[in-house]
Amino acid sequence: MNGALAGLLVLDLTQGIAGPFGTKHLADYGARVVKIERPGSGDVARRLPPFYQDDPHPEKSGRFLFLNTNKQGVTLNLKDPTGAALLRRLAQEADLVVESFRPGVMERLGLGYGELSASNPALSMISLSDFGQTGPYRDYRLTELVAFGLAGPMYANGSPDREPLKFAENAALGIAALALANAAVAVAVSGKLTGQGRYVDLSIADSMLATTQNHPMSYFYTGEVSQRTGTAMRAQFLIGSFPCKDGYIAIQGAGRGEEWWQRFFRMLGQPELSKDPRFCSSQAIMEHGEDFDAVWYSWLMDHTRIEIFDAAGEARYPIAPVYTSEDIYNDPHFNDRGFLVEIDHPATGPVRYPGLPFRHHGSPPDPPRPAPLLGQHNREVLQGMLGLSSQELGQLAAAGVV
Amino acid sequence: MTSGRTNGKGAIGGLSPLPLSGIRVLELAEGWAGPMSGMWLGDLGAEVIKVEAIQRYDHARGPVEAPEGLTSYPDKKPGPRPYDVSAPYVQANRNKLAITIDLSRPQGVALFKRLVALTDVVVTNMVTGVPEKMGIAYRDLVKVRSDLIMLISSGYGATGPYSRRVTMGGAMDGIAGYTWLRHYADQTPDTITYSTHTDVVTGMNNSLSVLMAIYHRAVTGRGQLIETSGVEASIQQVHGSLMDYALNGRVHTSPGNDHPFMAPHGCYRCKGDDRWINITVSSQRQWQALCRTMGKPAWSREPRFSTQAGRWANRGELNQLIERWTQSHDSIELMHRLQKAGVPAGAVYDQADAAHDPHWKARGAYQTVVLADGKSYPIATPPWTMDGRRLAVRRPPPAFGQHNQYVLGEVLGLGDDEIARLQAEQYIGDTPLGAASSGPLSNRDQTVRPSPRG
Repeated sequence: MNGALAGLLVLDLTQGIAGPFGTKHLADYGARVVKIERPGSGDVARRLPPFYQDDPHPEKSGRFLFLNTNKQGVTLNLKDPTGAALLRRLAQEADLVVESFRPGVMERLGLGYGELSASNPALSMISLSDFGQTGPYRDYRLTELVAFGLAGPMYANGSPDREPLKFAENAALGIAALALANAAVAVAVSGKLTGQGRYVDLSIADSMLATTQNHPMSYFYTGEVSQRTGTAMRAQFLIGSFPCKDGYIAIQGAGRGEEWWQRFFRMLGQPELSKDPRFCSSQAIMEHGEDFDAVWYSWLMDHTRIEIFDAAGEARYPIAPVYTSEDIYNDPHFNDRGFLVEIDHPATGPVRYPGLPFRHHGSPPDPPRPAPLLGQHNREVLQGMLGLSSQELGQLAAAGVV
Repeated sequence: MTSGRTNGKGAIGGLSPLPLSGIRVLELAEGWAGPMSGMWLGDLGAEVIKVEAIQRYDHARGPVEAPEGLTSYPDKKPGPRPYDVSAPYVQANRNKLAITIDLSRPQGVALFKRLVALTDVVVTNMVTGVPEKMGIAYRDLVKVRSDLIMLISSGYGATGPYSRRVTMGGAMDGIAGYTWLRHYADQTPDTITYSTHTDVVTGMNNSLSVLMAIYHRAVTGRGQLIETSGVEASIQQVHGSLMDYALNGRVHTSPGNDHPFMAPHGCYRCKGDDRWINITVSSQRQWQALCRTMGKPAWSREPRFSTQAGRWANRGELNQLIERWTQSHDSIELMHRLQKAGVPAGAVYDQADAAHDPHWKARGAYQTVVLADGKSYPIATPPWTMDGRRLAVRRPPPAFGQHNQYVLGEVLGLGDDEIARLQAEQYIGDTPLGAASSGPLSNRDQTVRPSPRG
């Protein structure tokens, strides 16, 4: 295997979204990630939509297929003592174990970090949980919406006269996945350099809270909290989304000083307006909001998303079109860069997936492999890594251990 | 723990070494995404040196002279050095050192290269093409440090038709597909507040890409150039709708707070001024527990609501019935009652709620540090607990140019006279030149209200 993480062996006991998304980052860059699933039903994400042709088949979940690329799939019943013993043997070979059971479950299964690392001191382990392994909410449960409301900027997102609003899809779970992957590689580095593993306690709630969008610094400074503003002052600050001839554009140009206003009016093809007394400073524009809106909105409605995007590109102004998934798939830039990658899976045939978010020029990974079928790599992993015979494997299967 | 004092080698006395102990990072970045990339590396133990110039500094620091009344500053007073304490800067620059070098002149570039020779990683978020113009591209720097890792982070990546376009988080929100998917379901995309969530995602992908390269170097001895695209990193986050398009040709619209199959799944008004609770139900057991807690056990037998599909189909009516109940309850008390009954529920916290929550206090989510104005403030800590210890803010966000003497003197070994000359010739300094700002007053131009719980 090639890629920056070639040689790293990860046992992935997580399921759902946050954990597998975290280990996907590792697998996509060359780590050998052995995904352990429950025999029979497998990862709960196999039952999450969208499904190929809307057929809720465990090998056809687009969610699962995306989150588990480049991993090997093994089924193992960890509640069975034989299964737990096999996991302990696999952990002897591994650099990292990642798990997302509820706090205390790994210890009950005899798979706590102390036990797994006893004869492999370089082994690290990350426990990902909803609220952490300690603290008063340790046994509380969260979902994306609950996490985003408690720990994210939800309270300040939306209209003042309506309920707070979440972000697109799974913002909190995706952030937790990134916090997981960052910690995973960090402890892998120190494990490699020092021979000493670490135990990491990471929660989805802590991950979301730690992102700068919701830092309470201004509250600590002033005792005041951010509130929902909707679109108030949006035009004068040039922030947010605006309608145009054929859709919407998104812009962030607020408060960047006079040079940015010059760029702005150049983009509009009316550079002389930056000298107009009504528009010659941020203050003047605030005071002539209606005149400004008339110029801005009429220009928007005369131009398409792409015309505006191109004009902004020329004028070096931060505007982009508001895209749907279809727009992203058809965009020349993402296609030119090869961002969308075709992956062939037995249940779906070749499908184009969102690809790698960053590129290592000195360690390019191999072409992507599809997510594993349930138990696809039982033989390769259990026979190849542990040296079990075909007969032993057959007995384990008959006993429901694999 | 208070201000971070180093022992001269970047390690902190008294603590067990962190995972990236001994790794030195130079950060040439401004705004949010770039500085956050360095911040996570600093959190994990790297010595991160933020490089600015008196001629041009991180615009997240805000202006040299700021008016009173902004929530970015302690007690809304900017003080004599507002650029040391502005909230957007403080939030993305813990666990770093700060120096200045004017990279627009050859002598500054030469000085920077001497530092690169002693450095493991260079992180930048300049627009594609700018490092080449300045003579600090990977091809230039690898000549002074053969195993260098260099990250070039940009909005659109280093290749492709948009590679030279400028962008910021709020614009990335549109092209990455977020804006289309995060407004109220009955409204249009132009009705929402802007978001810089893409910056957060970009910053964490950046630090991850560097960590992987550090691993690769630990195994092979080789450094490399890394190229990241904030837009592409962000697109990955909305893979659910993308995969539905790829698999079925279906284009999603914004669901608001609805879920594809969970019901109830929403944000409900509670007692008090602008207080809310999120309640989500994904199983029959949770539904029955919710009905019992509401004192409406009969609802769980109501045919319209007895299955998940029925609840989802009738979610408008169901949401109204639930809100009729929640609006007479305190959001935080209700959260605890529902959680203890087994229902995933959470109050919608404002910043004051989050700052005072007992769970996060117990988890060490905040720590008091002395900021550059000499006063103590609580500040958020990194999210990881390693070997039983929450990672700490070892160094508060540094004052502008605070570590010139340490880095140029102790690390590079320049003499006092040479440092004095650099200062006289404005290659370095601890005060930005001029009063003009290159940056916004605040990254969160939102209205605020006094917190009743403050």
